Amino acid sequence: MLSLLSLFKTNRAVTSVGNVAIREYAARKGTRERKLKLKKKRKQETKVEVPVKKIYGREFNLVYVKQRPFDDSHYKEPIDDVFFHPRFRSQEYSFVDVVKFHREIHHETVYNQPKAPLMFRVDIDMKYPNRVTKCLDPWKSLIEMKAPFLLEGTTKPTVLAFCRENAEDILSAEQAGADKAGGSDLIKLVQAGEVRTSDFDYIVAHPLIVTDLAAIRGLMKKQFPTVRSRTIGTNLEEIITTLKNGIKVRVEHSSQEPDFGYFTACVGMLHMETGALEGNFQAYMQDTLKHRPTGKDPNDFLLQCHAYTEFSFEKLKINWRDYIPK
Amino acid sequence: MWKKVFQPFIENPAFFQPLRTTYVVKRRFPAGLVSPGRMPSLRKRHMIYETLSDNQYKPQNINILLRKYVEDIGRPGEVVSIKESKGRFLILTKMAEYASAENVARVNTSVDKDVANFSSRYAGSTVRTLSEFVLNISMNKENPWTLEPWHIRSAFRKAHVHVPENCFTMPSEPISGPDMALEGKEFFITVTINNTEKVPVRCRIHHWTTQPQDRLPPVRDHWKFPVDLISPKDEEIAKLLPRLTPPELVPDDGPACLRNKRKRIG
Repeated sequence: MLSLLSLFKTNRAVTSVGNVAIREYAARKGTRERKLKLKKKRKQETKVEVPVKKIYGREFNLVYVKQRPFDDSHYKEPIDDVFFHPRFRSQEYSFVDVVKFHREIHHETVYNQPKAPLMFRVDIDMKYPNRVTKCLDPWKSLIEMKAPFLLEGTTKPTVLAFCRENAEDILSAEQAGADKAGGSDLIKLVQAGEVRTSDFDYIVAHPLIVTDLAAIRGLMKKQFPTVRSRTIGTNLEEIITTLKNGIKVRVEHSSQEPDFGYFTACVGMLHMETGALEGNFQAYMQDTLKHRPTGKDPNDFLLQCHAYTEFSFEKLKINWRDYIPK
Repeated sequence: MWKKVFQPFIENPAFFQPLRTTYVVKRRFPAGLVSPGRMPSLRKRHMIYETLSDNQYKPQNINILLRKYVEDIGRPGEVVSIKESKGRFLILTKMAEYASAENVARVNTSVDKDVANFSSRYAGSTVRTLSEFVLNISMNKENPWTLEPWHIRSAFRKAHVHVPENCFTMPSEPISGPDMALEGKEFFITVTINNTEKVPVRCRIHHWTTQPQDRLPPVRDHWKFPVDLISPKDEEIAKLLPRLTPPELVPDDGPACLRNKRKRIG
């Protein structure tokens, strides 16, 4: 019976009109695919919905906790020389004192961590002045350290520099700290695969050689130097030193609380000189205050700033107002 | 859960006391004039009112004149502005008077000299809390050290107490370590507040290391239990301070979260 049917089908598929044979099954190919697609669609529609896992216990009560620091300006000021801190307005110390206090606790006779990295956190008010809803977008910035340092387990970022084809330019770029520098020869090496761009953290280029760089744009992808990321410029030496001695800062920000942002960064190690640490802190402050909207008082913009280390629970408030650029 | 249940009660004081509010109202349709000695004939429409203002009662501060030292509020003979309710309570208990000009003139001349007094309004409470206070001084377990004033100052700062270096005196005999005989034992320093009040403060030395495996086992609520002294000479000072009352010993049933679960089941 089956064989009969199949015969019947084949007979029907090929019909002859005059002497020209017309095949019908070629046309049916598309319809089968369409029907298969429809079947799949129907299957997807009739999928049994998996019941959503109900949340019990602690997770049920998870609520976004606001990160804006508690404003204790309505607290009384202390009048005695001996007092308990939590009862009064929080005290601010100068940066030099903060470093001194942290050194005491990390001294060899106490915690024995004299080379602990000193961290600090800055809380920022992102509101525009005289606006209700408009808020600043969080930013990223690369800040050059006045006294560069290296934390344990980290290395300096590697830089690949494309210069003009002068021997002087290449030399100066290497002296500034570039791991590899060159002109059109270097582009050919990259094309041949002898030099990998993915081995480098940053790629820097002179504006005159950017047109030649288009040949290896596909190899570099996102690493391609741009003006916006400050990796293209005539002053290559400055760019390389800032990248080498720079520290990335990213402002943390939540959509639940758009009017608030914060960032944490490292000033240096505790065994460094206080002047060097102070210079680094000043560089951070100058960069953050650049981002404040026009017409906003720096006291309203920067809410508070406190220093801490990973070894102790102490968080000491810094009086950052000494470091406002004039 | 209880917090949620009591939330409306906490937020709205109307649940606790009758509303102390003043409403100023006005008739929408004014009643007609009547001859004296007669009541106006009021109709239904005259009972419709419009609120001009509904000023809720807000507690205000009042000035009072203190007769005695009141902790955290003021010294005798001082005029302070505090909450109405607190001020009235002080006046009723004869700790204070109304700050009228006559009262001020009378009290300033005749405040008793023998009345308990402190150098400032907060000094009394700091003396009380410092006498019950136990200062933990954590020192290194491996490196040699002798106790110096800045060790104690930083230990105070860690415990959220502001004590400058010129405000306390060190023990007469120098203490040096690391010495396991000193671990958890007590000695005293004297703190002076505003160059007047002197309080002895309990201090205990704890040995600490960076490596977790070498650290000493933790002691639960160690500051609530009395311990031995380093030198027997300090026993006289220890008698001056209020005694530490240890809590009742409860068999340890593991972490608190598990204990609650067990209760719920059985």
